[in-house]
Amino acid sequence: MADRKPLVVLGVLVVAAILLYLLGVLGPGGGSGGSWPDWASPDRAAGDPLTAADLDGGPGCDVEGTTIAFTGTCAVAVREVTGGFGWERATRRAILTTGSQPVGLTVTLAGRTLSHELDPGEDVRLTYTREGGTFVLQCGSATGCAVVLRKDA
Amino acid sequence: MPVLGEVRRPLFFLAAFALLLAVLVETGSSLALGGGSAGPVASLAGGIPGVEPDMVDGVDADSPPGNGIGYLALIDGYLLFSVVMLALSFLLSQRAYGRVQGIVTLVVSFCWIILSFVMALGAFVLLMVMFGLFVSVPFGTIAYLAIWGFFPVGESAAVLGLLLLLKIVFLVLLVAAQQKFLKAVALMIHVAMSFVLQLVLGIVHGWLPGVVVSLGDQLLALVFAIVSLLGAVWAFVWSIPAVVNAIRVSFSREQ
Repeated sequence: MADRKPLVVLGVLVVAAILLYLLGVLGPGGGSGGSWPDWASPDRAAGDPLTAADLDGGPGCDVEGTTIAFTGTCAVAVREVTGGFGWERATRRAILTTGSQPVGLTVTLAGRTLSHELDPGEDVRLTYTREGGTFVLQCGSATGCAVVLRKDA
Repeated sequence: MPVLGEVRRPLFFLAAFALLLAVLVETGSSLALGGGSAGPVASLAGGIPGVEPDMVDGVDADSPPGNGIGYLALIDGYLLFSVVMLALSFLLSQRAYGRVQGIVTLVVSFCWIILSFVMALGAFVLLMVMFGLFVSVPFGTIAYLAIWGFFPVGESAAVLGLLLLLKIVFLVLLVAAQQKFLKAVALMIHVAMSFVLQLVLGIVHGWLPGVVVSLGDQLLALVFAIVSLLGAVWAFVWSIPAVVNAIRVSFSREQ
């Protein structure tokens, strides 16, 4: 009589595989209904700093150090990272703080265009990948507006 | 009934065909999974601290295909190569097989090392980008959600189910072709690895919260590439003695 032990082990493994598959499919967290995970804190340090050296101010932008002064509309290009390994500066971050005037901000990032109206003194985190992108600042005040770019904590 | 040691060839080739189908499903999965719009990002980003309604207004999300299933082809592709080499051992004479087995394994495993290394780097870079965006509230997180937030868990479960079926068919036919294959330790470790990694992928898809399924999927894609790389290095090293033997035999025959 042939040794059937390996066949029995194989059969048990196949049944275990099917059960594990069903366990995965019937899991509680899948789909778009899952809750926001606790470990995904926005304060986690991730990414390299986005500095003024990464920026190209367009017409209407006066970039001096970390301050961008402008009247009307100012489009700023965030340069693409060239050289180095792909994982270096995979994401770059900075905090943009408005001055005493409200500022409209439109960010183009990874093919998406996102907008936000910033109140005076409000902070917002800018994030870019190696490919860079743009952000457009809009000032409603005739006297002009200013924003400051500072290092993300 | 075949005598002990003889392989039932039709069953063996059917097993190889089932594995080939599995590899084709894996490599083509990105074409079938995801794609198109998955709806407004606002439904996912609404409750995140720091994300305000005007930021996500009018922003639609994609349904990403994910990389985990595609990267399984690195594991199963090499398993298919091993099965093809087994088939060659039936089709060629012992002497001819002895000559080609080492050198073919050496070349293929070297190519697999390069492929796995490049794909591991690609997976690592994408994982860094995904994680970097994910934790960068508000705009980075919104961009992450728009690109990767709606992982097609149901569709990928269907593909993984099909793959599991094909692999079970492969294993059953392989054992039916020759029960002694169960005692081929390296082959069985490779088969077990293929099953286990796929099941881990299915569990990760099913159990992680929806918005981070893509991150888990990408992390596992990286793991698959690293496992494939290590396996290919192992095969490369072990093929060297066979190549040396083949060269030595050829040299002595010429003399």
